[in-house]
Amino acid sequence: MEERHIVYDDSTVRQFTWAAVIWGIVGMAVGAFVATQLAWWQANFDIPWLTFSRLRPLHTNAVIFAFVGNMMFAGIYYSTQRLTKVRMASDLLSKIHFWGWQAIIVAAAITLPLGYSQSKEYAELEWPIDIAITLIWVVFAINFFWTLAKRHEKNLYVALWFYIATIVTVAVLHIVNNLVIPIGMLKSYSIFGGVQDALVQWWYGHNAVAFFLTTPILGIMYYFLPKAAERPVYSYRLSIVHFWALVFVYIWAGPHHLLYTSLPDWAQSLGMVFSLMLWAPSWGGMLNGLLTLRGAWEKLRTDPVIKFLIAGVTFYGMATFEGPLLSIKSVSALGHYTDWIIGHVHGGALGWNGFMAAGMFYWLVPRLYGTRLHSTKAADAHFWMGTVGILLYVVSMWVSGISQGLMWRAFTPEGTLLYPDFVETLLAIRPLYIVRLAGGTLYLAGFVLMGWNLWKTARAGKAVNGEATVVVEERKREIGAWGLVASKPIFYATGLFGLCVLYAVTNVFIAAAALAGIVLVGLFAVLTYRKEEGRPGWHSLLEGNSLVFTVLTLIAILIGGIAEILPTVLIADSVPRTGTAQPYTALELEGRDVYVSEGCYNCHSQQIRPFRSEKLRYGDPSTIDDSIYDRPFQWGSKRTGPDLARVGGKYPNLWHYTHTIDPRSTSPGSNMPNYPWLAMRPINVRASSDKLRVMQKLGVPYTDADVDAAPQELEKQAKEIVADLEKSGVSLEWDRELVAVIAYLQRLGKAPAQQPGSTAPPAVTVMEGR
Amino acid sequence: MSVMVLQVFVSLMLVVGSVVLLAFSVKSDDHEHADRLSLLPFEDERKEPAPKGRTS
Repeated sequence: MEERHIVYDDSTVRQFTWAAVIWGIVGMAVGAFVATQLAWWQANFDIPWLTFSRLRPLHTNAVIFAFVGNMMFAGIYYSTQRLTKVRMASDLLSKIHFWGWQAIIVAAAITLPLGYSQSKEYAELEWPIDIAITLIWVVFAINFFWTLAKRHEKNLYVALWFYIATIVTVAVLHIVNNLVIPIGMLKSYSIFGGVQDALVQWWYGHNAVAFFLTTPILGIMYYFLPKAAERPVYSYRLSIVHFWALVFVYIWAGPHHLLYTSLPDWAQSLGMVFSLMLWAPSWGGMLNGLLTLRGAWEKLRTDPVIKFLIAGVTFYGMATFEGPLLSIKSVSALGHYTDWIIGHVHGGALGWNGFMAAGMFYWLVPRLYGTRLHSTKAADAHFWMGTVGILLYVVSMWVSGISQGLMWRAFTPEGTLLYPDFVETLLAIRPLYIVRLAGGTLYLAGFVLMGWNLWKTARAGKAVNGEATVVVEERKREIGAWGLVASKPIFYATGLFGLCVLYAVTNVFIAAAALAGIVLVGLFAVLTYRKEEGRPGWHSLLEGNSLVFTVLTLIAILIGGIAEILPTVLIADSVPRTGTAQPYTALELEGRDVYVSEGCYNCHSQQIRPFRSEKLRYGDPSTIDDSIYDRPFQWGSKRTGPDLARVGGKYPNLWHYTHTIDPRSTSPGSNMPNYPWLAMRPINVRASSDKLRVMQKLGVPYTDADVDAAPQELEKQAKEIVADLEKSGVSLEWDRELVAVIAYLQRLGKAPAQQPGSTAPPAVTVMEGR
Repeated sequence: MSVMVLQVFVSLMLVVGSVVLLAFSVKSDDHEHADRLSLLPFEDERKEPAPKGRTS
C-alpha cells in the first residue's frame, strides 16, 4: 500500500472550456446570420462564400463539433480524472487533441464557405479533414483509455460508460459514413450510392445526434448534476438499465429520417418502431436527472447552475418525446421536410446541449480559477434570455412547419392543389422566420453575456489544478477478461441465444421445442446459480473491467447498423431495382458536382413521397432507380424550395438560366440566393474522364468508350444548351458551371429510353388524403 | 423473414436477457452494490495553483 499525490491536468480543461465558449458564440452567430438570410434573401449579398447554402453547413458543423465538441472534451477531461483518481495519461496527447481539434475547426471554417463539401449532413467536410478527424479522435481515444488503464478507482462510474460509448461509436460512424474515393485534394465521391447512401448517411446522422450530442452530455449530467446539487444520482440501477437500452436502441433509429421515401419498407418500419422504443431509455435518463434534485428543489430558485442543468434535462425530455412522435409514419408525413424538424432540432440543441453547457461552465469556471462566479444576476439573466429565446424559436418553427405541411397537402373541393405555387407556402411562413431570428438572437445574446461573465470570473481568480491523495493497493484481479468471458452467465446467455435463433428461424415444431428449452434453461440457470463467497457480482465485475465493458458496448452499437445496412449492400432483393436507371452524362455529372458544391440540398429535396398531393405538385413518386447512381445521394431533408426530383423537362433552359441568376424573376417572393457566379466560373473539362473513371470503379455502368469520350461528349451537349439559350438572346460560354447545372436539372426524373431487357417501373401506390 | 418477426425476436431476447441478469443480481445479493457507486463523484479534492507561467 502506498500513498500517491495526484495533480489533475486542468489546463487542458480550461483550454477546451474557452474554445467551447468562443466557438459557441461564433457558431450561433453564423446561425443567426443564416436565419436572417431566410427572412431576407438580400443578406446573401451575391457573394459566393456568404450564401445560405454554403453557410448552413458551417453553422451545423460549428455548433455540433466546435461548440459541443469542445464542451464535451472539457467535461470529459475534468470528470474522468476525478472519477478515476488519476491525471490524464499523457499531457502530450492532451495537447495534440486540443490543438488538432481547433485546427480541424479552422479547416472547416475555410473550406465549407469555399464550397468544398461532400454534401452529407453533419459530414460535409472533405476527405483530408475527415482523415484529420480520425487521427485526432484516435489520439483522444488512446489518451482516454490509457487513463482508464492507469486508474486508481477500480469501478467505472456511469459517466465513464457514456464516454466509452461516445468514443467507440463516433469512430465507427465517422469512418463508415465518410468512405469515399478522392478525385482531387478537396473532392471525392461516396462509395455508397442512392438508397444505400441515404441509409448510411442517416444511420450516421441520427447517431451523430445520439453519440455526439446525447451520450457524452448524459455522462456530463451524471457527474456535474450530482456535484452541483450535492446529492447522488437518484437511481444508479436506473442508469445501468437506461445506458444499455439507449446505446443498443439508438442505432436502429436512423431510418426515421427516410419515412415514405424509396427506402425499402422493412427498413422504414425498423426505424419507426425502434425510435418509439427509444422514448423509454431516454426518459430514464431524464427522470434520473430530474429526480436527483429530490429534496433539494429550493436550489432551483437560488442557483443558476441548477436552473440551467434542470432546464437542460427538461428540454432533453421534451426533445426525446417529440422525436419518437415525429418518427410515427403518419406524423412524419406531415412534418418531414418542414420547419417542425428544425424546431425539434433546436429544442434539443439550444435546450439540452446549450443549457447543459452553460450549467457546466457556470459551475466549472469558478473552480478552475479558485474564485466565485463574477455575477449570479447575469447568470440568471442569461437563463431567462435563453429560455425565452428557445420558446420563440421552437414555437415559431412548430407553427411554420405545421402550416407549411398542411398547405402542401391542402386540396380544393375539385381535388386540385389549393396552393399549387410552392412560393405561396413560403410567403405564408415568412413572419415566423422573423420570430425565429428574434429567438435565436436572444439566445445568442445570452451566450455572449455568459462569455463576459466567465471572463470576468477568470480575471478575478488564478488558474488552479485539482489534486487528490490516493492510497494505492496492489490490485488483486478477482477475475481476468477471459475468466469473465468463459463464465457461467455467458455460457447460459449463449445457450439461450442459440435457442432463440432456433425459435426464430425454424419450423413451428422446433420453435415450440426451442421455446420450452428457453424457459427450462432460464429457470435452471436462475435456480442453481450460487454466488461464490466473497466474489463480487457479475455487474460489479463488468464495471471494473474497462476492456470487456468497451467490447460489449461496441457489440451493442454494431448490431443495429449491421441489421439495417448490410442487407442493402449484400442482398440484391433487399433493394428492389427495375433496371431503368441510366448514368449521368459527363456534363450532367459536372452539373451535379456544382449542385453538391453549392449546397443546393440544404433547401431542395429530390425525393417525392407517395402522396397524392406530391404527385400533383411534383410528379410520380421517386423510385430506387431514380437515384441509384447518385454519389452522394441528394434526397435532401428540408424543403425551403420545391422538390426537384422530376424537374427535368418541366421548364425550358432559359427558365433555369434566369432562375439561377435571379430567382425572383421567375418566382416572385422566393428567398433563394442569386447565383450569378455560376455563369462566369469555368468547369474543368479535362477532369471529366477522371470523374467517370472513378464512378466506373464504384459500379456505375460507364463503358471505357464513355470514359474516353467524356470531354468531347461534354462539349457537344453543352454547346446544344448554349445554342438553345442564344435563340432567346442569352449569350453564355459553353464551359461554364451554369450550363452544366442546367444539363443536370433537365435530366432529373426524366424516364430514360426503355433499355433492352429492362422492365417497366412498378406502379408506386399513391396515398389519398395526403 | 418479415421485419416484425425480427422485431419481436430482438425484443424478446432483450427482455428475457434482462430478466435473467436481474435474477442473477438478486440471487447473488449484489443488486445494492450500485447504490454505493453513486457516491463516487463526491470524493474529496483539494486545489493547487497552476504551475508558474501557465495562466490558461
